[in-house]
Amino acid sequence: MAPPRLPPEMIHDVAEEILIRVPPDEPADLVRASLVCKLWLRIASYPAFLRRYRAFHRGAPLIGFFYNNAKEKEPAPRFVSTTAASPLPPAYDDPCDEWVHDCRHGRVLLENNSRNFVVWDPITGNREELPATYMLRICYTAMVLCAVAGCDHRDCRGGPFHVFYVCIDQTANHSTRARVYSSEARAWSTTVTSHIDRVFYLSMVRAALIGDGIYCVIEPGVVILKYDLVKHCFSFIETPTFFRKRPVLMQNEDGSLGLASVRDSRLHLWSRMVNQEGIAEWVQWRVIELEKILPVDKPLIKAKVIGFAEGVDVLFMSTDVGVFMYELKSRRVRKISGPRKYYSVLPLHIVIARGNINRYYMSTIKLCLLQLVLSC
Amino acid sequence: MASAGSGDEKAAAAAMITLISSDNEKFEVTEATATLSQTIRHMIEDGCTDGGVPLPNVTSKILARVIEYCKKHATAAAGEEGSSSSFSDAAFLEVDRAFLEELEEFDDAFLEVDRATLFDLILAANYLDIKGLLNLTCQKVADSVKGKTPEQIREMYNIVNDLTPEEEAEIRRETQWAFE
Repeated sequence: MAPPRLPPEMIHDVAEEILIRVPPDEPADLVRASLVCKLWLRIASYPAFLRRYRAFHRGAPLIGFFYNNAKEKEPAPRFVSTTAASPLPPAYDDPCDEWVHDCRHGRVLLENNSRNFVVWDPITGNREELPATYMLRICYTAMVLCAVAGCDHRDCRGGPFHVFYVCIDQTANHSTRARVYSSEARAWSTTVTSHIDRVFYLSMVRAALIGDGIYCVIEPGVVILKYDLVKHCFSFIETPTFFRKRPVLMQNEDGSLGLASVRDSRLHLWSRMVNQEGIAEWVQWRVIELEKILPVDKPLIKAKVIGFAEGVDVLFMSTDVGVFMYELKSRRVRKISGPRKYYSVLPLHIVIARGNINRYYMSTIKLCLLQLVLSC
Repeated sequence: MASAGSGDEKAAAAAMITLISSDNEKFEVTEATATLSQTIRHMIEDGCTDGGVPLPNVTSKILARVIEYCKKHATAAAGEEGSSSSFSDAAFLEVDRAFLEELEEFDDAFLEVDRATLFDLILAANYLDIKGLLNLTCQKVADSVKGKTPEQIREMYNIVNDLTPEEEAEIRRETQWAFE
């Protein structure tokens, strides 16, 4: 038998067409592929390739999540990779003893030892400490987001950002108070206040950003607080009356506000829809029996949703048999770890590729290979 | 719009294009099939197709496969146009879905070729500028590098490593996480 014919020589255009299609879900694949030969390395290192690669793969893949775990006295934040190989180390010795509040649009929002907010780039290590301002440090939450209107958040890490802070003041007439920091103005806005008629506290679960609205759960899960980033005002949404246990908010595929929560070992998914009379209402669109999808050999005692990764539509669930990722579209379940307590999960989306390379690429390769592009 | 009639048949006959492979084999194809190639479309627009279109970069074996792909997908494109006016008709949607599934099966079977043929198809799709075929074939190669080391990829696709050992060692050091 004649030996198989060898493939013909690859030309530049074709190599680029192949490399652009290397799936981004395992970042190591493109890194390894670009080490095949000089042509592939050169292509994968062009800034133009980087831009094309990001545009080609619209949603950046989930590569892991940050979490806080004060009880175990570990340095915080810690990072858990959900890919086979990860460019990020599992723990950061510096910064330590910090609390991670949010992870969005390529930035991580921390609170440092001086109780100031810090916007941190986990790839470059850049840290921007926000000016101190008077804020209540009980019953509060905060979010970091890109400040550019219409941005697709594929490459906005170094650009202007906002930090949103909200608290419930349980002493002064039960009010909610919010302030927004602008990196361009280098200042916090004035405080926006709204009355809330009962004593509640803010959930530690990550808030959702949908359009210009920020949505936070007010525990025990009865009310959702909405802050309008354009009109700078609060409004409140009742959660479905049927179900009010530790919900996680999310953006559904159709752009509507979604809610996920577990009751009686069933995962319930809701969507905020506008009915024919033009009135917004909750519609339950899926109920999933967890004992059927998770590898359990006895009835589940504890199960709760602890986070949601936008774009890839992945829910994180903590149960007495372990922590799981559940992909809503493919219905695939993946075990992340054994049982452990996570307050909340802050997913990191990232596209990794080379960039900034030129004809002197070997002299600059060190920098280029470290250039990782975060995207949300 | 396709409809039966002697005039249309004549028009269809007039719209045949002759493609000539590098080994001088002639292929008669309809204009609808040929114009899936942007390269040929431009030649038709420029009126440069009389006497056949020579394709010196494509062998008869590969051209036959490319034409097979274009015929199937040209039918699909015509089907899509036909059904767009009947979007509300559930029966049409059902037919569309069945046709798309059939097309997917065709594509899967089409890709069942050895690596050398796959590369020839990529080069032909690139030269003829057939976007669907280029996407299909390049995606197949891109998916095949998942989980592979650079050595395995070089071996699979007969690529010579022209990086110096020093260059390669340095890059591996900097991106050690990807090789663990």
